[in-house]
Amino acid sequence: MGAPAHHHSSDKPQEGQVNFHHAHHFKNADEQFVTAKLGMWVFIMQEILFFTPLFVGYFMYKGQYFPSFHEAAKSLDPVMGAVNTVILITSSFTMARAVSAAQRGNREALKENLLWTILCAIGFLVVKYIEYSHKVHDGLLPGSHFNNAELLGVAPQAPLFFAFYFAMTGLHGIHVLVGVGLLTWLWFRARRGDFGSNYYTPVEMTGLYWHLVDLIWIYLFPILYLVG
Amino acid sequence: MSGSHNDHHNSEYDYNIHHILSGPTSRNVFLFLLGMTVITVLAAKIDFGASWNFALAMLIASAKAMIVTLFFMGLKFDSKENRVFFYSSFIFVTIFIVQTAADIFTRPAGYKVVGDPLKTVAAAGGPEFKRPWEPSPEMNAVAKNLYDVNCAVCHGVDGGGDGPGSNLPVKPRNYKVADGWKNGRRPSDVFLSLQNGLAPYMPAYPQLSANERWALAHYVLAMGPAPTPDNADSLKRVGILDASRDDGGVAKQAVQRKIPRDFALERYIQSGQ
Repeated sequence: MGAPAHHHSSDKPQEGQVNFHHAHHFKNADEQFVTAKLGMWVFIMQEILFFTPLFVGYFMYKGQYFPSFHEAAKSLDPVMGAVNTVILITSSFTMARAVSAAQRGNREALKENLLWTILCAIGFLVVKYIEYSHKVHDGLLPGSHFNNAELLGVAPQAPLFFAFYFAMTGLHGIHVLVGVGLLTWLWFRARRGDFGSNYYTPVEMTGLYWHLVDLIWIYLFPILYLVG
Repeated sequence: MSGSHNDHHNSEYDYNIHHILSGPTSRNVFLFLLGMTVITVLAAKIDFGASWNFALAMLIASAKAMIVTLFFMGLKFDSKENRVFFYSSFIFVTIFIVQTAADIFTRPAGYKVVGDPLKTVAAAGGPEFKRPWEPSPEMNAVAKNLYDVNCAVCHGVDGGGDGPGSNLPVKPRNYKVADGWKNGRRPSDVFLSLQNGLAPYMPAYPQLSANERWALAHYVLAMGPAPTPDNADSLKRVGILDASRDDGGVAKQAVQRKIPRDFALERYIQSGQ
C-alpha cells in the first residue's frame, strides 16, 4: 500500500475523490488495492498462528492442573472482561462505519468514526490497566514474581496460570496499543484529506487489523474470564 | 456499491473488490455480537459441567468470530482466495489443538506430565542399608553429601531455611524448629515429602533411591528437636510392613528399572535404520 503520489494527473479528482495515482509497477489502482489486501490477509493469518501456541499451551496446562487453574481464574473479574468485550465490539462497529465512510468519500464521517474507535480502544486499555493494577496489588504476578500465599495454598499452579494470563492479555493489549497508534495516524491523514473513494487502502487495512484484535478478544474473554 | 468510480475496472475481477458494507448490515452485526456476548455470559453462569460450559462458550465465540470475519472483515464479499487463506489458518489451529489434546489427554494416569513417571517411583540402585527407617552413622555420612548438593541451596547449610535460594514467597522449611511441618515430623513423613515434593516450591526427588531418601529424612530431622517416632501404621504408608525385620517385611520396594540413556538412544537410532 503506497502513499498517494501527488503526481500531476490529467484526471481531475471528482467529488469525494483524492488525487491518487497507483504505483508504476501495478497495472491499475485496483490491482494495487487487491495486492495490498492479499498481503494484509497473509499478515492476519500469521497473527492467528502467532497467538495459537499461547492458546494451546493454556489448554494443555489447564488440562493438567485443572483445579489450580480453576481456582486461579476466579481472581479475574468477569464484569471487567464483559465491559471490555462490549467496548471492543463497539469499536469494531465504528471501524466498519469508518471504512464505509472512506469508501463513500465522506471525510467527516470517516474522522468521526475513527475518533470513536480510538476512544473505545483507549477505554479498553484503561479497563485493562485497572485490572492489571488489582493483580499487581494482590501479588498475582507470573511465575516467580507471584506473591499471594493464600491463593498458592489452594492453587499451587496459580503462578503458571498468571503467566498465561499476562502473556495472552498482554500480547493482545500490545496489539490494541499499536491499533491506537494506527488509528490516530489515520485520523491525521484523514484530516489532511489523504483519503477518498478512489483511495482508502490504509483505512481498509487498519480496519482488518482492528477486527482481528476484536476477534482474538472474542476468544480470550470466555476462555479466561467465563469458563476458567 | 453506490457512487463508486471504479466500476469500469471491476470487470477484471469476478467479485466486487470495493464492496461497501451498508449501515443497516453493520448495525445488525453489531447487535448480533452484543446479543451473543450477553448469551455467553449468562450461559457461563449455568453449570452444565466444565466440559460442556467450555464447549458452549467456544461455540458462541466461533459464531461471533464467523460473523466478524464474514461481514466486518468482509470475507463474504472478498475473493475466494482470501477466504480460503484465512479460514485455512483456522483449520491449522484446530489441527494443532486437537493433536495436542489427543496426546495429552489420552496418556495413562501417572504419565500426564512429561517427567512425571520418574516422580512416582524410586531410582534404582543407591546405597544398601539395613532397617533404613532407623537412623545410623553410615546413613548420616551419605546424607551429608546429598544434602549439600540437593537441599542446602534453599534450606541452608545448617538447615536454617536461609540458603541463597530461600527468597521465595513461601519460605523453605527451617529444620531447627519443630513447628509448622506441613507433613509432620516422623521420618516417614519427610521420606514422603522427598518422594512427592511439597507444593508450591519443594520439588520431588525421583533421582534419589529410597534409602537415600531415608538417609536425608533422618539427617534433616536431626538438625532440630527430637522427631516424632514412626509407628507401625505410619511405616505401612511407605511400604514397611514389619519393622522388626531388616528388610521391612516386604520384597524390595518397586523400582523402575532404568535403561541407560546412551544404550536406549543407540537402540532407538538402530531401530530406525
